[in-house]
Formats: sequence, C-alpha cells, structure tokens
Amino acid sequence: MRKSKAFLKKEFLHLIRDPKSLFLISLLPVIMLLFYGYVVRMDVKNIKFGVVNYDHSQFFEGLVSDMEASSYFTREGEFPSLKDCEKWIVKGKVDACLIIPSNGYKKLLTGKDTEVLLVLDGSDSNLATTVANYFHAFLAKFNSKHMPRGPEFRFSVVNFFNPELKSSHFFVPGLAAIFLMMICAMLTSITIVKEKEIGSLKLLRLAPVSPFQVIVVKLLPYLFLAVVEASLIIAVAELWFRVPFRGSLLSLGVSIFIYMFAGLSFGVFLSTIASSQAIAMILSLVLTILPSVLLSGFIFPIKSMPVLLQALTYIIPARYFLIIIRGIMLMGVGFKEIYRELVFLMVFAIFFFVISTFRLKREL
Amino acid sequence: MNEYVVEVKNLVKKFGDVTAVNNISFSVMKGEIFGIIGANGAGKTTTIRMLCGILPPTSGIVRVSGFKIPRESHKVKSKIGYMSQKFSLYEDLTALENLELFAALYGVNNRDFHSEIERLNQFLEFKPFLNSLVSSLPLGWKQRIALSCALLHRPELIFLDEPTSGVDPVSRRSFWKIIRKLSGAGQTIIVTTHYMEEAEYCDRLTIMHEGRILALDSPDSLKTSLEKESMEEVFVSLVGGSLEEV
Repeated sequence: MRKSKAFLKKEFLHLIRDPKSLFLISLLPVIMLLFYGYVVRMDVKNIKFGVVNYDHSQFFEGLVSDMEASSYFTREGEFPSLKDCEKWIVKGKVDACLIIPSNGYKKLLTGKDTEVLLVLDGSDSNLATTVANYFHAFLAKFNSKHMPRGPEFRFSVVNFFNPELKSSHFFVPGLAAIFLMMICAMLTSITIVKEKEIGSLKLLRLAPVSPFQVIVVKLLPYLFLAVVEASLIIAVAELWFRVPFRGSLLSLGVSIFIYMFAGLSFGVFLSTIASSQAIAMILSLVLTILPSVLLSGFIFPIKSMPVLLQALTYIIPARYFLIIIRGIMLMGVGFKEIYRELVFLMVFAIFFFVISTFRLKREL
Repeated sequence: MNEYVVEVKNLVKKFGDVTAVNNISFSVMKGEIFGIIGANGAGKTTTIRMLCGILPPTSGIVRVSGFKIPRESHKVKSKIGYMSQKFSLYEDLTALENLELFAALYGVNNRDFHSEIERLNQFLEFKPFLNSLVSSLPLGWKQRIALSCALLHRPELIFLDEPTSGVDPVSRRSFWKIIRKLSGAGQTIIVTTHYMEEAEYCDRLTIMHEGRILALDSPDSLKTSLEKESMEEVFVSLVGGSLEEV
C-alpha cells in the first residue's frame, strides 16, 4: 500500500514537473476537435454553376435566380453551348451546369412536365452526388412553390468523366497522390539526420564538398526509387482498379516526376530539422498524410472550409497534384490545363531544396 | 629555417556571452606532433573546428598551410585530413568502398588512389581487410582504415580528434607507433586527447583550460620546469585538479 502510494506520487510528480507536455496533452484533443470540426464537413456551399439556356424565356431566369437565392448555388455565367460548359468544368471554374432545353416554357404552358439536364463533374464523385441531392431538394421546393398543381420540373443528371460515378475512379488517383507524397518524404527524411546520428555528417562538412552537392546526392537515388514506386502505383490503379486513362503518359510522367521531387525535397528539409531518425519518420508521416487527406480537397471540399483553412490548402502539394492526376486520368487534359499546378509544385520543390541547403550549410 | 603549417595569433571565439577560446596563440611546425590537452569544455574542439575552417573565429589570425581562415577556408579543406574515434567510416560499406568514397570526395584520381593505397599499406598493413564490411572489423582495424581515409589525399596537416578513446592499450600503442612513423616521414599532426599517457608521445603540447593556454612546450621541458615526474602531475599542478575532476 505504501509502495503503491509512493509510486503514484512519483507519477504525478513526473506530470507536474513537465508542464509543457501536460499542457500539450490536455489541449491537443480540443485543438484537434476544433480543427477537424472545420475541415470535416460533407455539406457543400457555393456550388458554382453555369447555365446553358436553349429556351431563352424569362421564366427560366426566375428558376436560376431562385437557385442563387438558396445560398448553396452561385451562378458563374452563361454559356452558349454544352461544349463551352465542359471546358469550364475541366478548368475547375464550375462544378455543375444546368441545361435548359428549347421550347421548355412552351411545354409547361401546354401542361406537360419539363425536364432540365444537370451536368456534373464525375471526376469528383463525392461532390457530384452531393450536388445532385441538393438540386433535387431545390427543385422539389421550387415545384411546390410555383406550380403546386400544374406540370412539374424534372431533371436528369449526366456525370461527365465518370458516368457511373464509380468511387474507385475518384478515390484511387487521390490515394495515389497521398501515398506518393508520404513515400517520398519518408524516403529522404532520415538520410541527413541518420548521418548526424552516426556522426558522418561531420566528415562531410570537413571535406571539400558543398551543401548543394550533398543535397543533390541525397535526392538522386531516391528519385529513381520513387519513380519505380510511382510506376507500380499507377499500374495497380490501371490494371487492378481499372481507372480510365484518358490523357497522355508523358504529361502524367512529367507531373509525377515534379511531384516526387517536391516530396523528396520536403523530406530532406525534415531531415535537416529533425534531431533523430525516429522524429524525422514521425514528422514525415504526420506532415504528409494528414494535410494531404484533410486539406487537399481529396474528400472534404475545400470550398466548404473557413477562409483561413482554405488559404492553408494553397501550400499543400497534394491539392495541386490531385487536380493534375484527376485531370489527366479522368478528363484527359494536357499540359495547357495543368501548367499552373506544375509550376506551383516546382516552386514548392525548389523552395525546400534551397532551404535545406541553407540549413545544411549552417549545420556544416 | 622553421616552416609553420599552422599559425594562430590572438584567437578568440565567443558564443554569446561565453568565451570558448580566449586569446590563444601558437604555431605548429612541419612534421611535428602537436598535442592539445584539456578537459571537456576547455576549448579544444572549438579550436580544432576553427582550424578546420568550419567555424569562423570572433577575432584573431589563423593561417593553415599558408591560407587565411576564414577567408580561404574552402582552400584549407583539401589540405587537411581529419580522423576521430567517434565516427570515421560507413559501417555498411567495405573498407575499400570507404576509401574510394573519401578519395572521390577529396578529388584523388584513380592512378593516385592505387599508389596511395600501396604507400599507406606500408604503414598500416590494412590490405587483408580491404574487402571486409567495416561493421565486421575489430575497433583497432577500423581505426587504421579511418586513418587511411584521412591520409589518402596527402593532406599537409592531419587532425586526430581523440583518436584512441575506447581502444585497448595494446592497440593504442601500436597506433601511436604508426603516428610516429608518419611524423618521421614529414607529416604534420595535431592531436587532441585526454589520455596523459598519449601526451607523452607529442613533440610539443599545449594544456588548455577554460579557453586559455596554460602551458606550451615539449613534455620533457614541462616536466623539468615544473619538477614533476609525469604529465599527469604536470596537468594537476597547472589546472588544479586531475582530468577526471575538472
């Protein structure tokens, strides 16, 4: 009894003497809850839509402005044809497109049901499903308000790029983006800190080699390894999960190469700041998987996040690579549509490359 | 005429408010074995790091093989070799692979590399072990390979940073035999140590304490002038405690 009491006292003393950890442990769940509470939201606001009005009647203007008034939908513009609206979907400027058939109003006047067409971006099957549900609810309300007894508006849905809304077509490229980032950061995260731990870094700094050289040789072997890894992942996505591949292999290859360079650079950077291999490993896991899943728009729509978190998503490489890989595989886009994302990834990679050389120079 | 490989004048290094090296001056002649003796925190390592050109001094003049530090540090790097007991070799490479790596890092070409291996083998007799993984070698042999790595590019000056800590006395003695041979062949050597027995092997040595040089002379002259029997006693009388205590 006395022994246990003494032991218990010792444990409490450990806790009290380490206020930093105590503070962190007691506040961490609250911070996580707040953070996740804002990120993990399946409802979508500000669904951007375009209109193709083949009917040109005033009546449909009323439908569209009612849609806007619902606060879920925002009108981005009107397009002359379906083709233009597809372009906007590929560019990511709109999430949906409402097609109003010619003679739709006339049909209503004669007492017949009229059908509008909702075109959605099936490459984000989650979002597409949500938008279809919202539109369904909106239309039901609209019908009962404006045409309580008369003919009804109905709608049918076309999902571009993924007509059957297969979730594998949506998830597999996203998962590839996340795992590639994780693997790359992990591969290089231990390289420098390992040499720090065994003491060989000291010899490198005494030798007539520049930090730039050290970082380059740290990256190169892993870049080869990463390319092999990426090829395997893409092969599994294609051959096993049967994700369509509509773009060119070259554009995907170049994009993956740049993306991996970004991941490897980030890993090297972690290696220059971590104090041990274990910490470098944990950092590389936590700092790649969590942001890539939560803030890339992979599952949780970025537009539903608070502005501050939205701003944060701009520094997440997976956000850009997700656009690239879905674009190339599902939409068949080429360099013209993705060069902005590629430029960002390149900037990210070079930024961490340069920072790492400076960190190493100080270390050396 | 004496040729100085290292010249240090009024060297000071401050880290914030702490003065790690406090106004020291000394010179090292070609072919000399020069010892720096002191406890942890005496300023030995800081001094060595400044001499290697990887730590800029706060003030003072440092010249290593004719080059000014810190302005010409990058030129100094290829003129010096460095070996320490803590780490010197990649354990998952063979001895030969380690040698090849360091040869390449220091820009030794292929032909020179092979003749260097032959030359060093005469001192160090490491040939039977060249193709063994370093992790499988006994400590004494690792040390010889590490020394070879540091000597491959024919440095004018070699730093031995606590080279024999953790090594058994027999290996330590044979290691020092090699060092004497190298010095006889004209190699300049600066060694830090806290083994007083090793201090005896040096041609001249400085005893450092709290960033200052307390004494600088040959072991024999130090013993005679202070009327002591051993270096251990010399150290105690100068510092006011044995190495283990301070």
